[in-house]
Amino acid sequence: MLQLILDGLIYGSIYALIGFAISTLFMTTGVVNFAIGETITFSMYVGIITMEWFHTSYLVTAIEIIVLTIIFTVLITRVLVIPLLKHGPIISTIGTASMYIIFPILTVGLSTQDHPFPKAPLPEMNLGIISSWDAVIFIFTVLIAFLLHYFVMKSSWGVGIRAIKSNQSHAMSIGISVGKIVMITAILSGLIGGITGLIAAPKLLLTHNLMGTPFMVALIGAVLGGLNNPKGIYFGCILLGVVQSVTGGLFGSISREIIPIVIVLIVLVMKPEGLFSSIQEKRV
Amino acid sequence: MSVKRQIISWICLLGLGLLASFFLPPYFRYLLGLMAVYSLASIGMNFLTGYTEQISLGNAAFFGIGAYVFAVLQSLQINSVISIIAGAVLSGIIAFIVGFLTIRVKDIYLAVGTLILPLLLLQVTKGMDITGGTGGLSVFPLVEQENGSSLEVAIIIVITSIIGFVSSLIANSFIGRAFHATRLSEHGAVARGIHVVKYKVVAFVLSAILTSISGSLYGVVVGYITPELFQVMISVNFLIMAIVGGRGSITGSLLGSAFVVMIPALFNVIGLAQWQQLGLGIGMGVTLLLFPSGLVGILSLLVKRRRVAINESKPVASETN
Amino acid sequence: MKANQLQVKQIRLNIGGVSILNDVSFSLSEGDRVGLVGPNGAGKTSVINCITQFEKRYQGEVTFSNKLLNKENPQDLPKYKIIRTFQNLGLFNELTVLENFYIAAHQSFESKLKNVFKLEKEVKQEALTLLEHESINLHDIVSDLSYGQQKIVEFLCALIQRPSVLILDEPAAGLNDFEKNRMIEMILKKQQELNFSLLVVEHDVNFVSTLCQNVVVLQSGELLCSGSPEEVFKRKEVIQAWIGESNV
Ligand SMILES: Nc1ncnc2c1ncn2[C@@H]1O[C@H](COP(=O)(O)OP(=O)(O)O)[C@@H](O)[C@H]1O
Ligand SMILES: [Mg+2]
Repeated sequence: MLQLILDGLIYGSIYALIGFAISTLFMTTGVVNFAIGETITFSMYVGIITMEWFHTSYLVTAIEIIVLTIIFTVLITRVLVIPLLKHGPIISTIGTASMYIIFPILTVGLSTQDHPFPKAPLPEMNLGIISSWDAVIFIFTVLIAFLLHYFVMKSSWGVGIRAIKSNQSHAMSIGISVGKIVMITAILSGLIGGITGLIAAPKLLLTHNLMGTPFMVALIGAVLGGLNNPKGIYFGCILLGVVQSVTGGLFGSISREIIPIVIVLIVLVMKPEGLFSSIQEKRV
Repeated sequence: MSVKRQIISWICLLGLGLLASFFLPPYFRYLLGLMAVYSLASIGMNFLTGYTEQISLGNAAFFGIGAYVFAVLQSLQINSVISIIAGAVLSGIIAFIVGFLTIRVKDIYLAVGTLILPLLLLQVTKGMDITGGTGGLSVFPLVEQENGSSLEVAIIIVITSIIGFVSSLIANSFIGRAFHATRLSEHGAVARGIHVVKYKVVAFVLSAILTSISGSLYGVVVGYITPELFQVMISVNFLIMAIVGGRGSITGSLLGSAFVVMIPALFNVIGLAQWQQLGLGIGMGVTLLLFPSGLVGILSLLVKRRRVAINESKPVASETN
Repeated sequence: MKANQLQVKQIRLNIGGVSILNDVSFSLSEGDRVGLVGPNGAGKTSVINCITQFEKRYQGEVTFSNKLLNKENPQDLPKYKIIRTFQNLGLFNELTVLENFYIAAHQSFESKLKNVFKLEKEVKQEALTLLEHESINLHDIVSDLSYGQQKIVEFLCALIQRPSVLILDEPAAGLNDFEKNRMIEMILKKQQELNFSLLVVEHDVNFVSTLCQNVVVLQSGELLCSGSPEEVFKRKEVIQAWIGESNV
């Protein structure tokens, strides 16, 4: 049982990281970048291939991967999200779906195989109940959650982000540069995405479907907690991870899929904007 | 659009389709059938996402329900028409419940809320014997000929045209206008006595029924069905059809269905099958950037009509003080 | 003495601890033309929102022909023939003028399912008649019209709903003097033809004086006074209430 919960915590952490990557851009644009998962997978493949061909060190590869996800996310934001945003977030979201379709093809073009991905060269420790890489996953996620929370809630850029979230035209009129803030969140989203890939791949094995299911679960978990705040996303995803792991372990794999889904449905019906966000009444 | 014009356009469309179904080579005939079938799902998605702005990732569920109910009932020797209707009714009931439960849920939250439905059914169909497990089921033709024969496709075209025509009547009636009204100005709609909740649920049910019929016929065209029908990508494809084709427009829905079927097929034909998804992705990206109101925007440029569907710019909803 | 049609009794509205309306009462009789005036933020729109049930958080009573409306939903008020317009327009910008008229007649469509095609013709005919002296085409997109034209279209759409009480929220805001006079003429003419009672929220003293027989003055959510326009607009407290306002 304890093992199941721990497993759930680790998977939940990975979901939460993806959730953060989704939410950063969502906060300023209201757009879910559907391509973020596939962007990560593609960058990881580029990374592993340069590593295999040119024997680049882990650090260089890691930086390469992070830079790539940032560049792709920024490009997607620049070319698709922002231009389409004036026609509404739905169109913009569908716009990113085009990249969700394109990236997997590019990944296949790079390599048709699965690759084991190396862990960061950290000292191995004997932690007893969990492997040291699992500990890395867990601690890194908590760290990023705190940093993101601090960034959004306390920093001056965070004020800008929240201002745009609540009222775009007003934010503009008091001199907040909307475009700049959106780009900052795009960079942040790419950064977190890259880190997510580096953290998740050694555990999950680098396959074409590295981010397929995790992206969907992360999206569900993030929505469960409330897409607008890091705390909600963290707990939403962790909750989903643990519930999946425990029900899966106790009642078999079908319940692993079904029970979390039912929970989400119930939560959404009761609290349409997620567990951890306050609903704002619309002014009539 | 006036009723007379709708009748004329649909008869023309039907005539063209029938003609094509008898003269096209088999592969293209198959594509034609697929296009006709998908156009119903596309219209269904449009009633939701385009007309009432309820974004759904769950329509694959209704597609799958339609397909599975049809296939299972067919194996029990039940009349095809009844099987199609049975699937549609079941989908409609489920959609009514889901639409009603999620009425306060909006935007991406609604998308995720509805996403849950196909994920659930994916597991259920994989696990049950009657649905053939992961292997799925075979579907037999409607008439005593092989799947994809001329007659078969012709029948499909007749059925889809009739349903498409009815949808178009609904879209151009007070129901369609109420859909537009709830999207464009909720308080305006309420002040006109339009029951916003009711029409949002109606859109949900209508969408589910159309998608379910589409699913039933899909099985017939393709010849077999698998749990893959419940994949997220299927819903995303419907969304692409509705939005790339043209939000809030029946014509757009048809164009969207043609787009999603024909672009990959084109790549197939010129021998670049492995790049078909790339073509689809780039095609839709470029279309949206050039014509945010969808392919129907191109049409309106050509025909120079004043308005086909929704104007390009969507003003920020203004509210009363 | 005509029977009271619409009655507002001791309405209070508190939102977030702030008192927005405090003990507002007044009534409207058949055929009345009442102006609800007051400076910006006085709570005029809030009164309308309470009457039409768009705002549900109020205390007090709203009755129509002695029937309590408090429990009704806003979309059901058109059934009582209480029709409103909006300060910021409640039109459907991306649709044509004709489609806006159709939507305004929505309830008739719902109740006469068998004759929808005939009804469509009738509504179109009526819309044509209503727009007779306007340079507005039925197939114009609403957002392509001038603001003044949009205000007129919203007013005419409200007429299609066959009001017995018509509530207009700032029908003259943003119009120039010429357009304002046209609007007054049009409202008076239609009121005579269709015989509804009228509640007008308005800023412009001249507009209200010409149009209304009675005015109710609201200030900071409280009823200041009421009476005929000549009398009320001479009062000291009313003038004072207006002085803080730049755009009289
Ligand atoms: N839904 C609401 N929530 C909070 N404050 C509101 C709301 N509606 C109105 N108010 C406040 O009530 C006051 C009166 O507003 P309003 O009725 O719009 O005034 P008027 O129409 O006379 O200009 C204003 O101070 C406004 O800020
Ligand atoms: Mg006001």
